[in-house]
Amino acid sequence: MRWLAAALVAVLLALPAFPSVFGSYAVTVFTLIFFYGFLGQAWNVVGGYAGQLSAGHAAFLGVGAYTAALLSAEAGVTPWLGMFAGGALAAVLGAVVGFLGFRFGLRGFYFVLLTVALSEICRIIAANTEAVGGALGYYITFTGNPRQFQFQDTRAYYYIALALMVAATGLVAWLERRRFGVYLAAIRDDEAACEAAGVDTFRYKMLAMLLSSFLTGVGGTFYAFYLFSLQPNTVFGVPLSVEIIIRPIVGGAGTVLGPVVGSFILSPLAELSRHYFAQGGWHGAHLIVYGALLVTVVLFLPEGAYPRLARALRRRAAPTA
Amino acid sequence: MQILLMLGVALVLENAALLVFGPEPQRVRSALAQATIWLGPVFVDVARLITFGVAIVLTLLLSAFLFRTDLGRSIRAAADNPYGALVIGTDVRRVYAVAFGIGAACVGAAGALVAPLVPFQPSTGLQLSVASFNIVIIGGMGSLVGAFVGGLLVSVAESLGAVFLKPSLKELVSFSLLVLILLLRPAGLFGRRAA
Repeated sequence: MRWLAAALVAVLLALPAFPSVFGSYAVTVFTLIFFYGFLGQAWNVVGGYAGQLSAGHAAFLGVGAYTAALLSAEAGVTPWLGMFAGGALAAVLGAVVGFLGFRFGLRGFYFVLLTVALSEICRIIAANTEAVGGALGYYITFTGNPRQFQFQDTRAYYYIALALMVAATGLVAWLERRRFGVYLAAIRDDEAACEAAGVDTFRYKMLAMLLSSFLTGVGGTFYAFYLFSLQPNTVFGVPLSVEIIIRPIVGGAGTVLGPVVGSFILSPLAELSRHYFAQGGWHGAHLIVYGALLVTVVLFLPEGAYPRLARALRRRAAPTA
Repeated sequence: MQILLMLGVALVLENAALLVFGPEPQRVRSALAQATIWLGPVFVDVARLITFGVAIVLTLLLSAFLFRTDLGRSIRAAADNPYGALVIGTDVRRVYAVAFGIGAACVGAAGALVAPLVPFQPSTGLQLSVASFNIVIIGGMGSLVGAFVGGLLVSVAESLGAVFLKPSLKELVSFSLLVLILLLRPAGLFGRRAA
């Protein structure tokens, strides 16, 4: 365990120095690793720790993205503030889904479909609202003004994504040791027992949902101002929700480092396969790979890669210690 | 976690269909799809009439199976109380597998029946999954009558929404209905247990 911690600290310390060493493509790949690591960590709060599997997190990202982009373009509000407005609106949406799902006992499969239905509804509303660009999407004009969250130098996005991921991971690591984190894990493992022990499970599930949707909404700002275009079918689409949930699941849902490890494994693979498949005109092929991966992980590695990795390293370290 | 497994299977199937058939909407053109008859004062597609008839027959067969056969009773027992069913000697795993197979077969039949009526594409599966979720929650989880009435209610509401609002907004109507039902009658129209 000490090895792993030392290695992680070394990697973390080295990460800020990477952009000056690597080429721009590597910087892009790392930016995506960090950003999806951050989104995975946000999902991890409600999906991993509390065990409430949301397959509609794209809705929160989309709401955050549209909010920040519109505030910036129409009202001149800097996205540095807009990201919190976007996060807050996403949290409102999270409260609505959480209330409907948790209050009325939509568990498991029903909760998953409720979250999917929600993101579909957001997609339909966005696609039918001309003020936000309708089905054609909303485009942000590039000004390169850092006050408007726009940067000439792509390395700025690298550092912002890194900061987001580290901050979210730190927050989750802190929460895990608090009463809050313990309650969430108890709810996931046996909700009835947890309730019998006197925990207000509804309240804690709601809090987890609020935190998770807020963080995802904040991520929306980064998404909007990194890509400069928002398409309802993409931003609110199921494939994006899958992108968000697959990393923590492969890495280890309900662990602090699972989403990060998952993103380090999957994001480069996703980037490469998308590139490769798109060249062959095989659109959507990477989602077949994701689907097969989900099935494989659920069947053979349900706890995820990180716990397995940590145990293997501990076992290797034990005889020498 | 099983849900994630199903999500994985759905991703593979949907995107494999996308690779093989492309994103363009497909249509089934047959002589039957064009045929129409007068039913009293109403002008009806024969294909729609057949679909409606087969759906009713399948629903009746399914309810007869669930309520009149031993296997059907085992399925309801396992859904109601898995531990209780296990205690009285039900092979719950087998029952689940059979129930899943029957459910999948019914949905497959529904797909075949709806194919002549509306154009379909790989993403149709998701839209119909969301629609069936709406129907089950509105009708009441675990209620066959509920699913049937919910299905009628949702499809009529969506059709009205398509006429009076915008065709692309019809899902919004059924979702609003879902939210309303959850707030007013969380167990659904025909659900027995309060949530």
